[in-house]
Amino acid sequence: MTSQPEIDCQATCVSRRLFLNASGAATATMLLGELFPNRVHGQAQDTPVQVTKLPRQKIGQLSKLEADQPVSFNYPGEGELHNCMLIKTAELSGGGLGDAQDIVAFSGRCTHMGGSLEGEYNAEHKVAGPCRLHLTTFDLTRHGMVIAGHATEALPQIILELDGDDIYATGIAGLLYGYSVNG
Amino acid sequence: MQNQNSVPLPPRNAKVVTTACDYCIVGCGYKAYTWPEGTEGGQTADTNALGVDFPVAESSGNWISPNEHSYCVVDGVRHNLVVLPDANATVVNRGGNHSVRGGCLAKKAYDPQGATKDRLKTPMLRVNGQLVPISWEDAIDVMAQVSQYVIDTHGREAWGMKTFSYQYFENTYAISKLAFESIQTPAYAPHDKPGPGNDTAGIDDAGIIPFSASYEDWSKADVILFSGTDPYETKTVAWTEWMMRPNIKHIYVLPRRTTGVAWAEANGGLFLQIIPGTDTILHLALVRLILENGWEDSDFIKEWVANRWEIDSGFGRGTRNTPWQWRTTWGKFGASFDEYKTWILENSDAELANAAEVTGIPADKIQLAAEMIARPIEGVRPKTSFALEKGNYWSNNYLNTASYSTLALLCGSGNREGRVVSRMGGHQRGWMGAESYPRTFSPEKQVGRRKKEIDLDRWVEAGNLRFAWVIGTTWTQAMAASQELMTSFRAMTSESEHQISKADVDSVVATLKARVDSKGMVVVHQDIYPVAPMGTEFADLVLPAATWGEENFTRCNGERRLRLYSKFCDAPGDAKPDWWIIQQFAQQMGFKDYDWKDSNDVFEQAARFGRKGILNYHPLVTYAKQLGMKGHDLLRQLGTTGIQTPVRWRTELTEPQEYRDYAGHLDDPKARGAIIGTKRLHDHDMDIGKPEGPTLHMKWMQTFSSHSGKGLLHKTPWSEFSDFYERIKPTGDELWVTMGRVNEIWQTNFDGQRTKYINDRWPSQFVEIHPDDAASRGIESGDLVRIENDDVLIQTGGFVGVENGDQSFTGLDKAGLIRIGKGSYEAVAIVTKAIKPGVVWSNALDAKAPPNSVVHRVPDPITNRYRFKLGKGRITRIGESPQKADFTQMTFRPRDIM
Repeated sequence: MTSQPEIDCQATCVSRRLFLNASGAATATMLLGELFPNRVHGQAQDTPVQVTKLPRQKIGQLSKLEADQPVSFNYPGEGELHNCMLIKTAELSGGGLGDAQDIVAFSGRCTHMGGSLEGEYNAEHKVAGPCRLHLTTFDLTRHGMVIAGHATEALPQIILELDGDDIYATGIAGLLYGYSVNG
Repeated sequence: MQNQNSVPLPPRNAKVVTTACDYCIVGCGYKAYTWPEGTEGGQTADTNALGVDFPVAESSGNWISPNEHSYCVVDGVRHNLVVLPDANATVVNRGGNHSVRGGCLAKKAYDPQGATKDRLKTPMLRVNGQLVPISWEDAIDVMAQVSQYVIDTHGREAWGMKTFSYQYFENTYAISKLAFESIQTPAYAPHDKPGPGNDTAGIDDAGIIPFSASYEDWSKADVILFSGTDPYETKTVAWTEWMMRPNIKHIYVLPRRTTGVAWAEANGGLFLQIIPGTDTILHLALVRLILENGWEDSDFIKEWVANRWEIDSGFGRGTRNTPWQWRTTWGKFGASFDEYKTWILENSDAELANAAEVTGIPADKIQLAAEMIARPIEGVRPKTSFALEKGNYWSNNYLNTASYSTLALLCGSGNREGRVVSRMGGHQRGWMGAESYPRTFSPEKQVGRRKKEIDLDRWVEAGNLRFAWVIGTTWTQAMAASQELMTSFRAMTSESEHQISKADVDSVVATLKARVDSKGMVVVHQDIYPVAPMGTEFADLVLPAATWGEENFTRCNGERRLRLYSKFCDAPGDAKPDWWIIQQFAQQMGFKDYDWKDSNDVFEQAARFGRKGILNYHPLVTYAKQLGMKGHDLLRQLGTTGIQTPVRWRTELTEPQEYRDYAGHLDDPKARGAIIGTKRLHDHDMDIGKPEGPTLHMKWMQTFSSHSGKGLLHKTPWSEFSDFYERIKPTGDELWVTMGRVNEIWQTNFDGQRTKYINDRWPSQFVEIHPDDAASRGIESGDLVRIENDDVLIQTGGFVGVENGDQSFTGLDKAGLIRIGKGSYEAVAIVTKAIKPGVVWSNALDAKAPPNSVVHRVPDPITNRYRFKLGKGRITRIGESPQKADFTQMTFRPRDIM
């Protein structure tokens, strides 16, 4: 696989190196139904998807999430392009966590030209965007599918796990903007 | 959901060529990188061919998304392929901006192990109903023998072609040379209309060339009026790069609220949500408001609008065999400013209250639009530009375009930056005609006037076409009353009793001769994929074509920018470029002057025949000869910037550097003089020097394209259209069925349906319906619905008009020349407030479920152009689509979220 970039960092170095060392080996092709057990609908169960499996990172607490109030977090590191969003859409969502299957997380970088989607959430339609650069919108209930616009990839979906009240990110489905391999 | 989470980077030694997008009119600049499988570049600038460190930053233009990578075959070996927007582009898509279409270009490449493995690879002959491989020699032999027989026995007008008009100069030059020069058949139609000729005749008649502006010209406007188009959808980068600016107010005239409309409303713009087909009334009302308030640009009108003497100096002097003569004589349309003003102020159709009722647009919004486009503020006129596209000219072709150009001229627009009038365009400008259409041989004639171009569909249905060569188009679904047209084809081809039962050439020829003598037809379909039903069901011969990336090709984009589309991979199997196939056939027929060795030979020969056109690149070819180069190779040097046609040669460039950099130029010290592009047409103040060397200065380069050089106003009486319009209005539970495009789908989705990403987004035809219309029919988003029209009007004759009114809708109907057919299609419903109540909207070119099936096939009698946007039908729920519950395919969210 591709050689890894040199990392010049302090505090995040340890976890980041772990991830980077693991990234190539931890890429797996899974069926969507395996990736999000009991959280995928219709014929989509058998859709194959490449996943980057990463060390668990706590990103939020179930009890503190409010409907349609996105929570920002960085993942899988502290890089400029690592901003992500955790959202309780209050609507059945593909891969959604929780009893209502409505908690999802996505990269916060538009997969057209990398515009930040921070603060660009439309509660009525459960949509990320429009990206301020070229107006791309993403459906967060349908695995980040592009609704309209120019991204050539769905918004990368962050794989979530629930442990008690804690929500953990454990990997990424899709390729983060800016990268040739998730990192 | 994306199923790939990494992409290989091109290594330093990857081969890189420049090209431009194969798809929409904007033609963004791209680079194609190829390198053998099993190797890849590194993440640091010195270890990859992009010369950048990964990860790349926001807006870098150098990110490679998974859909920008694929595989292709180079010299017989499978290679990696990355097709990336040119991050160094300084024109069109500056900095690597791109559309979703261009961003998936890599996926169109032929990959024997991928989704494009079904590309056509060998000529095939239909024997006993099955397509079987045949040699090129035999295929050409059969075609030539049958063609000669058809021409000798049934006449040249029984031998026809239906082809793309845009898929590169080299191919269209060969096509037009064969059809118009060698065979001289009038039975020819481009892919998107029933016959040759103007798309927007009313714009041309005004003296305005439809692609006269540069993209930068739009960026200098204060206000842009968009009629029947949201360029955000499918002319994307022209819009995001050059128009999406908060200081430019956008006004949209559409039946549907799109992303561009939503952006406009959030940025001081305006949305005029119109009832389909009523644009002319809106234009008349806007003009009347402007004239009533004295907001017209009097200085411009005095200098640039033709007066009566100037009109008469070009028109109205008896029969003149010019394209516009017949429709501008007898005072019906052409008018001086004073005549026009008198006409419109007495015209009750143009009254604001009437316009509000007919168009469905509130009167205050029409009033506001008139103010925005024309009212001077503190003595300063707004710089207003006028854009139009198919919603305008595919609903009421002549009246809409003529009234729109009149509106624009009265606002002082048409020949200055910031004040331009232009089509936004669909496909790129790739037609390089070797010869004019042989109108003399056309079976169609206007009442008391000259011959006009054929309506090839009507010609087919009348049983007059016996041999059809179809190249790169989905004929039946792209034309009106699609299902009825398919039925006609089927009867003349696959249902004929004369079917090929042996692959032996003599036997095949004998069978096909017997078929054409018994009112049947022989069809040859030439394309890159199997195309239903023409190729898969009707055609006797299917020929495999090479396409983008598989041959060196050239053409212009929507600002006349000429680039080389470089070859970087092999064509599949024995597929050949279209020009080569034409050449083989022409030579077999004994036609002369087809001795091309390569596509550059065609390019250079074609240059001589385009010298008087707006796409003239002849000076580039002569300059290349001075340098001892091929024309293609000189163009390759100009990369993604290319050069804007018409190309001019000058002994010394006097254009400022900024102009040179935009329009494209080459000043090579090894050659005398320099070549330079032309940024804008019609502009009197643009310095183009004196005509020197091979340069031709056509009048329209610095004045309007008319006899007098001035713009021409046209009266547009609603009565020319109202008889048809009243007949086709939906009644009872019928709704208007109109259509358009979405960004993600290019044309029939011929490549997109093979790209998982695109196919997941749009696996099916869809129909947008207003919640009020949906509720009363029990329809929810995700439901499968059927749209049916059992009242599809089809013109059956009327080729020659004798008495006045013969060719009007009323005249045709009285003469029994309108039959009633049927049509239907199925679609997945999307319930949205974005669409006007009473109207539904589908993807125009879905070949599996063509909405053209419910569109009337009665062309505009003035121009022979269909009213594609004015279908109608009843819509009923028939069940649930699989996508309703499958979260990985389709989304039902609206496209106008802002």
